[in-house]
Amino acid sequence: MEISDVELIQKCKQGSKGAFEQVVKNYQQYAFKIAYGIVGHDRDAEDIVQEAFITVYYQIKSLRRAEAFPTWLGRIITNFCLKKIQANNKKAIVPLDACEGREMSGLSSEDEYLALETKQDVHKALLKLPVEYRVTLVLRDLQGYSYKEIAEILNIPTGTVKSRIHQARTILAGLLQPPAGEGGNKR
Amino acid sequence: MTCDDVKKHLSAYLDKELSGDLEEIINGHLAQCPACMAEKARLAGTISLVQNMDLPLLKTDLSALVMASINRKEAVQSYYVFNAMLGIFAVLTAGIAALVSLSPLGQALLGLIRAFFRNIFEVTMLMVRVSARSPMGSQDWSITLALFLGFIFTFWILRKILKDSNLGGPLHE
Repeated sequence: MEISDVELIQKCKQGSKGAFEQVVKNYQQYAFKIAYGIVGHDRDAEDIVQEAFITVYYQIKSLRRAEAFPTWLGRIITNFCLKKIQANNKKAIVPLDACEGREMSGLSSEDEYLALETKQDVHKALLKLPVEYRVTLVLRDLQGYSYKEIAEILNIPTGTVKSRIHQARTILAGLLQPPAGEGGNKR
Repeated sequence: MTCDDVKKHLSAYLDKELSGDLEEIINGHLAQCPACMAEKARLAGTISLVQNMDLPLLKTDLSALVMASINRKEAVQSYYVFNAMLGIFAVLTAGIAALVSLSPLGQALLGLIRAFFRNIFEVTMLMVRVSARSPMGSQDWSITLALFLGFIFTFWILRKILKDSNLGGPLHE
């Protein structure tokens, strides 16, 4: 976090709208990346980012340390994503049993092949993860947060973070890198 | 440590989130276990795929939209605050009026107000009747006005006398 950002946050805490607008400009891509990584839809992610920043505007006075702003914003974004997923009832929570198999429901064999071929479709596989695993993995692998920071953002023990990340990667590895002789060559 | 135990820690190992001792143990195991080494490579490949996946960037600047929403929200909030204050004021006024009207002093005050308006009405009616019978003709409203002022003055004097004599109560109660 740059010094100027800390100063901007301090000004926001004092009620400066101009400073807040600049904070939105500086952090909107960061916020969008988290939101998109979790919900997987442009429109939903944009809505979440907007709602989250409005919440930030009204609650920023409760932020004790300006340096903690990115983590705090990450937590707000994550909470909005979870609410959105629940509201949309998108079957985001996939039973573990379903994930452990390599069947990617909702995708044709052509799509499944592509999912193993292109970088972009790694995200499709990520969206097949149970939401709590997906959120944890996005925060770790896309945002680079430490386990401790993720624990703070999600308000869960560090041990749970460790376990979720391992489970998420194991499931994802099964989806993306099937053992030789299975998947990938379904044409 | 068994292979299953090691595999449980592999993600944290790759993320450098293990304690020094545990990391040493895992290193030792990996050096002599090809199966766990393969699993480590598989997980590392998955991490790399996720870290390098293509995610779209935000195409529009949301700052103007966010600020517009905040301004709209604040306008709505101030409208509701004003209405709420108006409501509270009305309720308080009504409450005070109710309390005053229920108290003996309030009853006396209301009676006085009632008497005042009743007298005004009666005086006006009387003036109309008197002016209609006046020899100067019903069109001469100057007599009406003089009578009206005379009655008002009389009424005021009467009130003053009543007040000075501490009779208190309303005129027509």
